[in-house]
Amino acid sequence: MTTFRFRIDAIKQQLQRRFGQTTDLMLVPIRIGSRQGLLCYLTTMTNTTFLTETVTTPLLQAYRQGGLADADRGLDAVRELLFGGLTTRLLDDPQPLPVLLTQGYAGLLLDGEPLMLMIDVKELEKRPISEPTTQNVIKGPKEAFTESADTNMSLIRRRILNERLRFEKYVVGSQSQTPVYLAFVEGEADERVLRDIRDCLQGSSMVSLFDSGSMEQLFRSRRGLLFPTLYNSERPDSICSCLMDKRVALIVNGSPFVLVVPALFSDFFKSPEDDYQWFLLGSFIRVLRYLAFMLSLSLSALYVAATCYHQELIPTLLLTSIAAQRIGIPFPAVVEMLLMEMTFELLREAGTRMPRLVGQSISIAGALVLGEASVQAGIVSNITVIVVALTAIAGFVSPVYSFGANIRLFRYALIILGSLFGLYGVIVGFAFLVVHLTRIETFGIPYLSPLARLGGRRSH
Amino acid sequence: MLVFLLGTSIIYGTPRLVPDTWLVDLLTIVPAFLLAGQYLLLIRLGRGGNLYDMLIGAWGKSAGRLLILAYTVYFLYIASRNLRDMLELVMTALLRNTPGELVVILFVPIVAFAAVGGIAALGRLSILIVLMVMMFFLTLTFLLIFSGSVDSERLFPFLSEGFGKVAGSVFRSSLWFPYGELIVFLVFRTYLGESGTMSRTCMFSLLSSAVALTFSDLLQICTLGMENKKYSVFALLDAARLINVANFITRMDALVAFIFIFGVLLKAAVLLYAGSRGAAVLFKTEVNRFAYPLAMLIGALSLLVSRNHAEHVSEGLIHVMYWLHIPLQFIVPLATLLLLWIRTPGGARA
Amino acid sequence: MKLLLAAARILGWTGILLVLGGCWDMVEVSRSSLITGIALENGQSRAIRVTIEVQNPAETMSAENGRGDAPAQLYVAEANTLSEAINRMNKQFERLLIGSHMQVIVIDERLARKGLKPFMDFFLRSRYVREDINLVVSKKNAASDLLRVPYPGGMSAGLAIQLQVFNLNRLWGGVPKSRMIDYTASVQTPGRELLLAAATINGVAGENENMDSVKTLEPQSNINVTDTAVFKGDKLVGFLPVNDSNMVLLVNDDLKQTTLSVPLPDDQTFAAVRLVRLHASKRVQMIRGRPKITLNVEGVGYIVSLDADLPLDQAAGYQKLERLTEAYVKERIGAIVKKVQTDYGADIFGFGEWLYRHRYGEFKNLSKSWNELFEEAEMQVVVDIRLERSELKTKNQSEIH
Repeated sequence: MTTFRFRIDAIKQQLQRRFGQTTDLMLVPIRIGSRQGLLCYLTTMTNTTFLTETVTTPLLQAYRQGGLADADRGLDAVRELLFGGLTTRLLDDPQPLPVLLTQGYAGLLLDGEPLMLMIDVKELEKRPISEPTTQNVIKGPKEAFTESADTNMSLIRRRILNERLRFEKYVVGSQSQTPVYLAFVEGEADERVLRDIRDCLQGSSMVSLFDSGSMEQLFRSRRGLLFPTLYNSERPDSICSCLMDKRVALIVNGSPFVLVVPALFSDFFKSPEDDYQWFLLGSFIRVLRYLAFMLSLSLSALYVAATCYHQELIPTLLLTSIAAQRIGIPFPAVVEMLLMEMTFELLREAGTRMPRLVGQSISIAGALVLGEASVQAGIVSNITVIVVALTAIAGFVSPVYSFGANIRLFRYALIILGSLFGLYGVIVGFAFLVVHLTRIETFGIPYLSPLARLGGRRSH
Repeated sequence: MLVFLLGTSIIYGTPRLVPDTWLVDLLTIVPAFLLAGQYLLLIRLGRGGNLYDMLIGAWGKSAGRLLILAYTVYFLYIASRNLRDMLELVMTALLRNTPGELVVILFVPIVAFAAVGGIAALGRLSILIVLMVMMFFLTLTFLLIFSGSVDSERLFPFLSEGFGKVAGSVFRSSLWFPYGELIVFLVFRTYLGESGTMSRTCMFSLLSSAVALTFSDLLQICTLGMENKKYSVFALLDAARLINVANFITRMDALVAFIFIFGVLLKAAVLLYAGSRGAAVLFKTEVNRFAYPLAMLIGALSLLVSRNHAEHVSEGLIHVMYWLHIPLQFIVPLATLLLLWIRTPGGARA
Repeated sequence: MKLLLAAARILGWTGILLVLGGCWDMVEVSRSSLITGIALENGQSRAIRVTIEVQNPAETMSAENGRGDAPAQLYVAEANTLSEAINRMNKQFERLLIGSHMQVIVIDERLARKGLKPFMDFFLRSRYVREDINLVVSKKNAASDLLRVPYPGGMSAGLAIQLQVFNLNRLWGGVPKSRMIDYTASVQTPGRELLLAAATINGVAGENENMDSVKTLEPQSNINVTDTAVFKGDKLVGFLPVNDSNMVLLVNDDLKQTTLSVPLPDDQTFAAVRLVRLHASKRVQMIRGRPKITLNVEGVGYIVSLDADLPLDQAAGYQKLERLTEAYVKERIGAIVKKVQTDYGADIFGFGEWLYRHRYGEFKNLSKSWNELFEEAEMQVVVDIRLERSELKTKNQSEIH
């Protein structure tokens, strides 16, 4: 059987065919010993300085010093001699060459050799570790994950100095080939959960993956409609405490948000800060978060239901005050409420997308124009503005942004139900929410543990 | 599963706002234990099967299937009675002009949604709902005490009509409702763990629901007075209306409506699940296919079942007792028990 | 996929139908008005005449942009039942009426003498009417006149009456609490008769109905909560003056605080004693067919003022005043009970109720004729007052040597 031999021309042609005319593919002829060789790499995956230092310079030096006479023996020897400290691979088949090139390897081949040397020269510009943008803490670590999966893994590893911490690599996305790392602590994580997650990752039919958010649909339990079943965080300390709590983390390259599977309802109300502060204060604030969640969900709906249907529930003087404010308002209470809520959504979205320089004008426009002026003009009443503002502020109390975002939609449903059927409608909406919450399970672990741990783990 | 049984048993008691004296509630514990004991014996003899299996095993295929049909319809009927209770409350206290059909249509899909989730989800639901109901109930109590409406003098006269009437009331009504409905749990036998823990759980939940019921009645009498209680349609609601703390917290009937609606939700979901299981056994299809249609059926039934409130109460308390509760909760299980005993060879009794 | 689409379509249509089906009960707050008070009188052409006081929210005390207009308006309607009258009010009034915040029901004296039952049923059944709404009997004046009195500061007459009754009851015990729950409790419990507050108007009724009359220093007309109305069953039989009301409440164990002007041995001098914690417990025994009532009154209080000199820097001084107060209270209680026995023959003190609760067997046979038995009852009162302190000074400081 003839062994395959690498030919420079053949390889050059193959690469040019596969990569097209892309300008970052470099095919550099190089001399190794007395033989012609080819160095191929992608300039965008590496740093030229690094490449020169680690690959070309040693080769040239060795050539000048004449120590490459043994190079005739093969690339194996070259590898041992010069690149012993780097990650290298030997290929005997040009098939995986393009993939490896895209992963940051530089390929070194000698004409006529049966083997080709791939050297890992990946050197990418990364964002430095900075403060988290979405989950802020007053007293606690202020490091956040970055887009590079290696940095993220390092941030986790340096906190859990335990040899049982494992990282497993998977590739998700048939076209984008994004590396995804599964992190868990051996012995802590549940075996069944691990197995299910691995199956999910390997069996995914996703085409491309650019952010961990897209992964959520892979793991979304069939029953979890309104609530996120994956917890994400930018903070290494939250992820580490989850890992120690029998959970599994997923690090997606290119996303600073690391996922934790499975997520529990109570996760979305925990901030790591609660543990770093005085116990009573932490507990109080946690209770406050739950209350704020309830409030942000139901206050608007309750206001509409109470003023339109059940005036007897409101104390007399308050009702008089509300009635006095609503004299002359042209819209029914529902319309007012929805109008203000929509306006607030617009404000919120605009504020996020606005370039930072123009952001100031949004807050002024929002506060003055929409709030104050509409009340003065008699379009909405003061109390509606108060309720909407309270609701919105309460909605930001959840430490995880995606949670609040999901629930916002349900708030509208509750308002509409409240306006149609009064308090009964709101109660029915709540009942639906409660039933839905109890039905959600990710990989057999119910959403409402630890409450539900009393009742057993897996459903039949 | 402990809390599941616990939870649902408490809920069984609370939603019914039937005028009764508290002593009756307390005394009902003893016969309730006997009834529960009968069920537990059934379980032990049934060797791990659920109610439907037991019926078939004891009576044979055709008679057994007939009985399963009877029980399925029975469970659905109780569910529709409960729904009617809730409807009455909502129509009186919350929405006066809205047609009852709409109220039911809103509610019934959620019951089905809960039942489709399966036993584990129902268990979690019951834990949550029981916690909420207990919390509201305690809040109600505290608020009533704070507004000075509780007067223990109203408990007197004590035993004015004599003990005989109390005892009679125990056997005639309180026993079957709510304790007799424990038979529903026999359907879920396979999920509930071994008989050892199950009997302990059963006893504990019976005790706690008796306590809860007694406490509720006590509270109602202390705030309203016995005479007033006789005239009110929903005694707990009237009691809650008396709350007035600093003229600011008033009119807590919404709280009572909340408790009630959630209680009925849980109860109806459990009954619906049992019923759909029965239907699944009879027609040999999967359980979940029946949930939504049967839920609609319950909804419709709840509207059709009585013309007005007085008929609903009298039918629910008097006629149902004799025609449905006593036979299906007592006589048939007793007979099944005896048959199973006879059929089981002596040594194989678990 | 097709199944999903079909399901989505079905859900969509049901959703739309549901949305169309709502809003049956909706009441728009700015298009409706709150009733704050209601006055019931004998009707001229029909059975009952109803005057309602409707709040004008812009002018009440909670609103900031009022122009000084009247905080409430009055509207009248007549019908055979109360409910019909209220629902026909739109003949004169443009908005929807919300009855859930009614504060006061003023009942005309003549109507009360005929009996309260016919119209109280409406209030008891309605889920809108609060259980602690005040019931007030209007004495001498027509009931609707009581609602025609303007108050400064954007307060409507209904609210004002409620506050007056509440505060008078709490601070001095001049009227019973007079709420609907009290009505229910009295009417349903055997052995107790109803007591309600009664009020009249100072000044001429109906003359000063505009807000100018409250812009002066002295109010031109105001509501005077004068008496306590005594009922037998649900029919009014008479009034007790406000001076005696606090003793009546004391016997009922309903008195929170009161101030007594205790006469001192010197002529025309008094000591003012404020009692803050009062408790009266009764015991009723049937002896030879006559009820024998033992009343134990305990009170704790302090001394507010002295006209004459008593050695309050010694324990003996306190004791002397305590004895005086006790004697005074005992005498007053004896007098008022006798008065009620002779004048009205109605057991407003709840002695029968005590018998009902604690000795049911004995009471069962007597319940029909309890009021007659009450007229012949013998009473024994034991009073124990403890005066604890005397504010900032000890003896009376205006001694002139």
